[in-house]
Amino acid sequence: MKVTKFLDLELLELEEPNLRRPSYMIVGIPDAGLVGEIATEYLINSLGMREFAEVSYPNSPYLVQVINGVAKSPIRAFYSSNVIALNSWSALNPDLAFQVSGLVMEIARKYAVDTVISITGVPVPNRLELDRPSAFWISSGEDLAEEMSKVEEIRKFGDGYIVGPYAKILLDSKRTGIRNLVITVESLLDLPDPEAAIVAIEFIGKYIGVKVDTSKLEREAENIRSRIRELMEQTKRQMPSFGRGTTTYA
Amino acid sequence: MRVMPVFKGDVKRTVVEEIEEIRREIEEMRSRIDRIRETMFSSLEESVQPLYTHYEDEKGYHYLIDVPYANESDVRLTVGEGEILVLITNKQKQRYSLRIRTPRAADTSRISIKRIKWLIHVDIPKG
Repeated sequence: MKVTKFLDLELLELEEPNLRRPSYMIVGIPDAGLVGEIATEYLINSLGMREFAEVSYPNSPYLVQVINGVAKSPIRAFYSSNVIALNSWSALNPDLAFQVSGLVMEIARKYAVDTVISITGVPVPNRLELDRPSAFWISSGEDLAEEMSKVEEIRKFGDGYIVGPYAKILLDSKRTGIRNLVITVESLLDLPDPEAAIVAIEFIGKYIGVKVDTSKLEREAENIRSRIRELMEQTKRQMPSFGRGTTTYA
Repeated sequence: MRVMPVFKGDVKRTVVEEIEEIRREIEEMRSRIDRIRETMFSSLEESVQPLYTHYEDEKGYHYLIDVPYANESDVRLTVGEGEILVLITNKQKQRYSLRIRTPRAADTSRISIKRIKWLIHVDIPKG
């Protein structure tokens, strides 16, 4: 196992994936509606991605996820042919979120990722009146913005703010030259929103060129909501510290 | 001049029987209330608080409750002294309870419950 230190974090790598190009890194950090977490976990499972790394924080370990009797960090990385996915199964406090965001760019740089895709929710008051929530994009640079403006099924976010870990990834990507695309879907704020996650998954599937069947997520939505109840509670407690309780707002 | 009620024997018996009947009904109602109260408290002890969010608009107070495997027919609502108790037992027999402090402007006689998408919506109108 290879151990790489980054600030207070350690990246424990079991193997080093070779990615085909163009390569992508999908990031799911729990925030509004758990859209990013639900979507990333579903993509990991449906693309049959292989776990290759764990992120540990030895100075302040506060949670260990137990899977099949084995203790694991709640922040883990997976890969398939040209995609890396980093998902957190635990809410992150602002300090940890800041460090994990920095680590995302380190991993992206190490594996020569072309585009980092962050998934999040934009809370809207009329969410329950929407048959299908809309998805918006935010780009780290002009070239990606121009590329995205040609895509019909997703709109430009326009003017607004993004706060929290995804804001740091956007700014870091400007510095490092790695493209960052934020996909934000109209969602609930403090209740899990699997329907918004489905919209994100369907777009990302098309964008990275893989076919993802979301019918299983629709069928298992009750079970998923039951399983992530505690994660939503944790995330609710952390969200106000990211700023105004939302991660993107117009 | 004072008018005294005059009863013939059989009329007097009927009134006594009626009073006895009412007394029995009150007793039955009292024990029924006790039974409901006992069930409610044992439900509360075994229940967990569901995920929920709430907002207020000009029409009222709206609570959106996320209980997997539940619909509006699984909800029991009790309006008490200064408090509204929402008890939900889902299809998997898991119990959830939410205590809502009754808002001052609430009209508790018109509370409605419906399922919107996957959420239970408790709507407390303003009076």
